Amino acid sequence: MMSFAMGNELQLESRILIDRERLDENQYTLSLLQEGINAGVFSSTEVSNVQINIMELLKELIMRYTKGESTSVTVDTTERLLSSILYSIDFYLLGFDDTNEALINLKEKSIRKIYEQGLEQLRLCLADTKDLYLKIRKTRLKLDIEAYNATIDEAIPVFFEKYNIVFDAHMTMATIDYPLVFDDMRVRGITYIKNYLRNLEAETQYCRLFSDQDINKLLQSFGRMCRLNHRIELINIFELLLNNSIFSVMCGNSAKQLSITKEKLNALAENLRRTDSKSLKKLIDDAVAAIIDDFQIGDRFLIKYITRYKKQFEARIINALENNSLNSFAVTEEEDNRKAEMKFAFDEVRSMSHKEFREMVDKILKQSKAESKINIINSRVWSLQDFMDILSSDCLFCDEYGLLFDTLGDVEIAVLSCQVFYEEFRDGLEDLYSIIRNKREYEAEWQGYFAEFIAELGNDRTKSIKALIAEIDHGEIML
Amino acid sequence: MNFPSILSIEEVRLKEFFINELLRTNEETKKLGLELTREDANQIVSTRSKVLKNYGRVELGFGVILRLIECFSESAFINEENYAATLNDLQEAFYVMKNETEDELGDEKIIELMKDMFENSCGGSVELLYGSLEAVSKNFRQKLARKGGQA
Repeated sequence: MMSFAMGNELQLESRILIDRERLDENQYTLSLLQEGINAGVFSSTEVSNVQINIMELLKELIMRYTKGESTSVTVDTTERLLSSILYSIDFYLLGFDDTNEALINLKEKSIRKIYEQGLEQLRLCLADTKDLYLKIRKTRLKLDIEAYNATIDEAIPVFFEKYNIVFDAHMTMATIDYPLVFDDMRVRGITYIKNYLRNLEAETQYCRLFSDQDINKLLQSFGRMCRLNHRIELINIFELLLNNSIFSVMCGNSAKQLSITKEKLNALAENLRRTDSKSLKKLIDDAVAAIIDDFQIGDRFLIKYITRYKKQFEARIINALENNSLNSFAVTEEEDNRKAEMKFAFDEVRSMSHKEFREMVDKILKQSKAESKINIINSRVWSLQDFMDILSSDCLFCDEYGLLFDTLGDVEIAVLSCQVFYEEFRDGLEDLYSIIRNKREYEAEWQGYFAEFIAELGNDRTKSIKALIAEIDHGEIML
Repeated sequence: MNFPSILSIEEVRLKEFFINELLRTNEETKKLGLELTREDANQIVSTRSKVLKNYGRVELGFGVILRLIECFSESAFINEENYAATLNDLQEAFYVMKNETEDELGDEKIIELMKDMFENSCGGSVELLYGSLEAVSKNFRQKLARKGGQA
């Protein structure tokens, strides 16, 4: 067993002996001790002493946790407090870039000292992370994207409110929905939040190179392309923008120009199919370099982030070329303007008050004839939300649903189809008959009757409804 | 190396220390005619570990049993014959009570409550004490739930 004096020679020796691959960042101290034993850096007595000292810290923390009123706690609480202590110790030791230095500290310093210094560093890190959050909140994108806004307005503040560096340092108590291009979920606690916010800041910085209007336009086109409501789906805005910028440059446009025509994309796909992988990589490298140059991006972290994304982009483009699906990777601009001509029969501005709605329901319930019920609905209901509420309010029975649907025009049926078959359309399914055949469950009873109604429509009408569905902006009509 | 190994090292390391701590209490309890043998002490330490494990609790230290000895050794219902067995029962009752009151009651409060019931309403019967504690904890949990509901 080697004696661990502090000489450089011995430091170098241990440098060779430690198997870094086996170090686990989430259990850094424990794995450092384990590898230290394997390498002969620690004796079993030394490891045992470290464990005893951790136990002493745990004992004190339990007393602190119970405010001195209890000497025992549940196993869950013990594990939680022990994890918190080890997280602080890990936090300090992970602060050394060189594993050897971490090892020397663990051997030379008292565990209590390391723990206290870890806590101090956590405190500083928490303060820095709060500052970073405030900066992000100030420079946020003004977009109506549910996951993005909920993450900034709710999830992160809840984390700061609940986070406790003494008792719960290792916990990541937050429901963060907004997806990032790079998000290492293996790390925990404040380190996770700091990494998340740092990456979010870089992504936001890039997104802010475009106007909110341009971003919104691209998101809407993406939503239409994938038949989804971009406001509620988990979409990474940075990735969408960067992809289109790269394609734009590859098509010979400027990085700032997000719109690409289908013709240009098809021509690009044709060219790329004839390009070998080395040249393709060079094309992507050049495009990314042009983007950084065009936007005069100077922030090193952002440049590194974009460069790191290049590899993902390369893998995806190769896959898209192989599967002939480049048109689902890049968002192309829409050529026709039929959508502008489409007039929605529903008008959300004319929605009813709660009282009016209740009165109408009571009136419908008093009617015995389906015709009378339908007349009341058709003369009073204007908004889609009210219409769907009526369908869910048990005012109609069996065949009455079909009779009501029969009074609707094609546009209204298309709009209702988008509501009922949202998930199927989002998943790329188009054939209404096959969707209905395969759909096993409906959220509401009326949806089942609606599906029956659609199944019985003639081919011509279904064709026309299908065409209208393709034109609908799912983001605009989702409730 | 993981959490259980860190926790179990404490138990193995301190077993002999705990036994000696228990035997040291004889110095005081002898005056009351109560004395633990090494075998009794060993049994109490083992029971403690078993009870803690069964009820999913961890205690780093030995404060509870020492406090129970201090409090209950002066009871007229405890004699040399039932001393060790009663201590084993009392420590089990204590940890059950900790769980049943969801850790909301401090050690000292529970020990005071146990002593009061043991001496008065239960007339020194550990079986009755168990029943009384169960009723108290049920009542306590209902109050907690009401409080939680209001919040």
